[in-house]
Amino acid sequence: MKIFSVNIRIINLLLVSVIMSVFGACTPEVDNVFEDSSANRMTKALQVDKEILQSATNGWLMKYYPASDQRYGGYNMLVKFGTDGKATVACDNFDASKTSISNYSLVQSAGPVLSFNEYNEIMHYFSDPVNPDGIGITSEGMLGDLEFTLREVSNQKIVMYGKKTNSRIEMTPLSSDINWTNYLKSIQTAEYNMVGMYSCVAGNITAKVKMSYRSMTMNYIDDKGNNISKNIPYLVTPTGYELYDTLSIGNVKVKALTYNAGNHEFVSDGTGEAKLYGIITPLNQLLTGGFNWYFSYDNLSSFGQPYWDKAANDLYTKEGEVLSYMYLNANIIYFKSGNSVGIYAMTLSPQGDNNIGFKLSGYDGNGQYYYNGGYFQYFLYPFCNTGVTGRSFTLSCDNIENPTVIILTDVSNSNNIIKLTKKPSAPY
Amino acid sequence: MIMKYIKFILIIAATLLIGSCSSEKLDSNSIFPTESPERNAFDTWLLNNYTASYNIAFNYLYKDNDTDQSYNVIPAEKDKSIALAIMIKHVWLEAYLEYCGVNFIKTYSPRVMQLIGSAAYNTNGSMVMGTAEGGLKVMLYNVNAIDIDNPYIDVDNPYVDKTNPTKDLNYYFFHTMHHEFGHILNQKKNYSTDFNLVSAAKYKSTDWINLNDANAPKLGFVSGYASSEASEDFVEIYSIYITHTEACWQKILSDAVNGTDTSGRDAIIAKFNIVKNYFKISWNIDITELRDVILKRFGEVKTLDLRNLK
Repeated sequence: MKIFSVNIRIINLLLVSVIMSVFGACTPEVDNVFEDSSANRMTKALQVDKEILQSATNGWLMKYYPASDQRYGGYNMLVKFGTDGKATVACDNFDASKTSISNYSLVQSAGPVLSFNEYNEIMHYFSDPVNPDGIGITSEGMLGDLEFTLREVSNQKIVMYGKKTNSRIEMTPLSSDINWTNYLKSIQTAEYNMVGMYSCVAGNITAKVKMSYRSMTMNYIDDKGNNISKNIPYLVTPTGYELYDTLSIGNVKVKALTYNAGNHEFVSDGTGEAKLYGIITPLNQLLTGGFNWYFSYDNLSSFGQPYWDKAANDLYTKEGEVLSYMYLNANIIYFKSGNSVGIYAMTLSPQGDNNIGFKLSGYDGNGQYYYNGGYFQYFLYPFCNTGVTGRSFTLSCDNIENPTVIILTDVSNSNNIIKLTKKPSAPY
Repeated sequence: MIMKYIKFILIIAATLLIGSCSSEKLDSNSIFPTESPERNAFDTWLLNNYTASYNIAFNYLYKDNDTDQSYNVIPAEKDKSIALAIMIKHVWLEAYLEYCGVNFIKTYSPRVMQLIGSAAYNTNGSMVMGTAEGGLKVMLYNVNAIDIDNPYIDVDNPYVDKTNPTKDLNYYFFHTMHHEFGHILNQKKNYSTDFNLVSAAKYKSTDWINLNDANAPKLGFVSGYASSEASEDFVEIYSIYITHTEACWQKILSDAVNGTDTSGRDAIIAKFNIVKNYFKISWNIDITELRDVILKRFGEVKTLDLRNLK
């Protein structure tokens, strides 16, 4: 009996040790899916991405639509990534020969992220919460990004997305024979020569087209009698417009439009079934047609400048403020002094195609403050005299097909000439 | 016999256990970069004057994980960051160094200072000038508004014209730094809860934006922002007091009297006494003496070369 009991115990012990050994021999490891750790793979990926960014010796053409809804359209940015960690940036919205150089970095942040992490006057024009030209509201500006998540990276094309806006941005390398300044000038010249207003004909549909920044608003009635309104952001190329998305109008699809300077027409790509026809708009309609027309000191004649001198001097000494923008849109003059914004309403009296009169008809609270304070009595004097008196002007422009400057010559005083520019400009 | 079995079993078990251990080689390379990054002259200056001296990371480049993603902001300009780094060192770090000693500033200074080029705007239209997070980090906004060649520090006017942010460095940076540092010190050592009772019924929460600085004293606050909540009230009293002259402080007190109603002034004085006692007892700081050091150093800013690192 004794021996039997010992044997049982030994068998039990053996069983336990075997079971433990079997469990002990199991390792919880599974085969690695990837050869290397995620940290090492990301480090390598960033290195590869950086080399590709730097490989474009003449830089990249970046098609940049700043806002997530592309409301301001697209801009051609030229960006060169140096091996010294500096990015050189140019843009068709600035002087063609201007470049701005600043730091960039490629970092890991939910994927490889390209960050323009030092202030760059051109790149951050689009992401400044207070746009230097007063575009967009304070706190938003043009709603651009300064960090971009890289999704597809190759020597032929980089696709990235704005980290906040998720806007899709493409970069393609610029061939070595392209001169940056000349390329941007060709885009600016093309844009300058294109007519500012159009009608679009596609199949049996005719649409009215209004341009704002680099976005078209197309209004038309479709086959079923519905009123359709479409916003179509685009960027300007040396030959015409490239649309952000493919536009479907009726049965016609449009992705690009090529400009024909001879007859002011754009023809769509592919079968050319859609066309934009330029409309020459009377100047007084254009001036009050909803675009911003900017005032600046340098664009006043010697008649108006002394009034602005006095107003600016008083504004600085009494309020410690500088006028940062002043523009006409429809019948309203908008301004910003220091951090205060305000408006002045005008009564318009257009005559014929090229004449118009302005009289001051009202203001908001800030407008009242700055008018009664003696500042805008003088800023507005060359434009509408003492307000209720008003002034009448004869209008001319730099380019009848697509005016970027409208010249107002006072009917009763030919020495009083005011040039208003379509391109945003600071008053001083 | 039994012992034999047991030994036998133990040997087998030990062999199996040892055999079952598999050794995996550890990668000898760290996943964190161990080489020094390339540093420009400003980086090296910051390493020597902020990191080595005070254990502070002074970030002038935009870092997404050190910034508040809910705001639209832009990075700081480098030359303006240099000017601000030189000024903060002189009027802020070295003021505490001079008055409180090296151990104090090394121990309690924020570990990270993050510069942002633009202001950050709230949806109520207010502008964020700085924030302090957990005693660790101070964010300074609006750096690109600095006028390097005309540094202007207003120590006489308690009611700054907020529409012209480029002018007064005190309001937008130094007062802000002291304000945020006040929060950091409060997080280390609590102040008496008696403070919270003085103006308890008058705090305005987010509606502080509608209280002009000039109208705040009559309600018992040294600024509009002080009326938002007690903790802000506390550090506003501290930061406004130590960054302005005695005449300026007296102006706030006299403006706090409304005819025969002295309740505003009484509240400010009552709260000021708690603030003064807190700093004396908790930190051995006489805030009037500290103010003298800060104002002296403000006066020296015009003699600093803000464009060249030394």
